[in-house]
Amino acid sequence: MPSIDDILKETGEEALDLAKTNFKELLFQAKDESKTVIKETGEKIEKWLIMRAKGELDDDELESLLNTRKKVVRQFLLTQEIASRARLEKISMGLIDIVVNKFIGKVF
Amino acid sequence: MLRATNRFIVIFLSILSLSGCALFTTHYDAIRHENFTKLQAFHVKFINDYTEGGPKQWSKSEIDKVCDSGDLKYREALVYAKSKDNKDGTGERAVSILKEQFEDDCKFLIKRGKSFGKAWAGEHLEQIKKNYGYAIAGELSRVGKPE
Repeated sequence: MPSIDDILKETGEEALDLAKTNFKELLFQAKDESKTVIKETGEKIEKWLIMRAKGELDDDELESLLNTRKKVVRQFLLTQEIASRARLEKISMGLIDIVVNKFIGKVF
Repeated sequence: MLRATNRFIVIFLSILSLSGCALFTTHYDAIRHENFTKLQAFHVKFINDYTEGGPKQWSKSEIDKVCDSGDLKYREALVYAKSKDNKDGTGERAVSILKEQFEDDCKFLIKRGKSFGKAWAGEHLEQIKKNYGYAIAGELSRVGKPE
């Protein structure tokens, strides 16, 4: 089975080799990440490139999977935003409700 | 003195409450939640139906019909989500990402001129399910979700 290094061998073409080096650095960073979504993105991209190299996917299929992954990451980020806003609302409103309903007229 | 303190607290809390509203998110909605599950089932069936060895043969007219019917479902879900959104627009944005994905899959199937490949479909379905899973998780993290 080809490895990512086999697939991204230097070609002697400067611009392409630079892109490959940058890509490998990003890929290794992603795979080392503790956050599941980033790590999983790195692992999936590596897997799909290997599948492409083995002929299990064609270029259009590979591009389609990468675009699909982009949307998954967008949805994940949105989920984080929703959870963070909900937490902010719960804590802020909870504090306000306690003071208004339980403290005023009783504590003071 | 005590009355002045009370008045100050009420005014302070009112300002805090009003200024905070713009930051807060759209609340949980059971119909939007249900829409995510229905759209997921429809989308997954579409991929399965048009994968090599699946029950449907590639036919542009048939695919156009399915994609048109899907377009209507996603539009309805989008309009509904928008009608329930707070200023954050998070409900509409979540449906919108799913709608874009379905449209991309329709275009891809038409462009291929043949059914989806099995290897692609396996990987793609995993990602599709994650996308809907995140949309549902987002809905369940909202204020007002059922306990």
